[in-house]
Amino acid sequence: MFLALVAKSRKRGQRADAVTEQLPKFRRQSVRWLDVAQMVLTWRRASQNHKGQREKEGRTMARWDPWQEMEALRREIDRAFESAGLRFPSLLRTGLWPGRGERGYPPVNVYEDKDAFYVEALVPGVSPSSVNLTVLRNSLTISGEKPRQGAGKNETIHREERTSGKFSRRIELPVEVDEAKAKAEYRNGLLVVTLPKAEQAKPKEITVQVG
Amino acid sequence: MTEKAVSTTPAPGQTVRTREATRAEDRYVAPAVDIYETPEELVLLADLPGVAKEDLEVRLEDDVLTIRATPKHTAPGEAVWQEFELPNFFRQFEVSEVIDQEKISADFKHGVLTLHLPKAEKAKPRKIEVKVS
Repeated sequence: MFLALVAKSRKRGQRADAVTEQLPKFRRQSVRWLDVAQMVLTWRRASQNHKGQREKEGRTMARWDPWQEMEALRREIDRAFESAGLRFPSLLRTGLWPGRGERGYPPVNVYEDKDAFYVEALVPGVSPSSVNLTVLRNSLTISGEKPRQGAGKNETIHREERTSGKFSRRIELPVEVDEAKAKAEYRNGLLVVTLPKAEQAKPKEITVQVG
Repeated sequence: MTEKAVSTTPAPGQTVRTREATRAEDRYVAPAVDIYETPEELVLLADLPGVAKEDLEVRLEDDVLTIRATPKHTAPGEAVWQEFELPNFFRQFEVSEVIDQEKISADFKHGVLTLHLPKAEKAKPRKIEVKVS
């Protein structure tokens, strides 16, 4: 009945406010919520229509879309958390669980000095012969396979915390590296890739001459 | 085989420290493990990356199996991106009497510790032939 009243008042347009005023307090509140809900629904429908139309017409011009804005905000937040890895490694406790990090597998640490980049990857249980490394300009791709054990016919798994399966991860470095001089070393489940910086990427000192 | 809910054990003779002091102590992390069972034994696999063989300690005492490892790691340069640390590893498991504790063997390869825990004779499945007289 109440809904009908709202609907009715809505139809009459400007009289909607007057009706709301007379209602008890909690009802006034619910009218507002209803308004909001309706607004959201209208928005949503509009944005969906808009999206469909845009796709149909093949238009690429961006228009203000509240849903897109929200999506963008969510992505921003995700990115902010991701980059936290740089400055607050202690916050990233997931990285402490080998093979259980929430980003790509394997988890990597990157170090830099004057001449080279060092990429360390945690790959316990991955045999060095199955690891495949590719270097192209400024990117390094690590791929391989970690075998699953205990999945045989007469075997029962009680606990499975270690990850297994095929993996591939590409790491981009800020500068180009010298592909020919790159080398990798495997030490107890830790893969260390040394990537010397390309000549043109190395910092050069310029002496200032006093004229 | 159940996991023991014990964090770190203070060394014998060590006095109780304040909370602040405890925090400054070495930190430990439980390594990820797989445990599977075959008809003859239980196999425990633990990921211990970056640990050299001499830094690893596997101990069995009073039915408690302790895995402790302290990896030594030096950063080759200035860290620019960090997703993992190599902390100390520590995890304990309770070993029941169905395991033949004398015959436990360990193997460490590619940063993975493999423990073979053979079942005691009485725990092994056995087929009993039914004779028809």
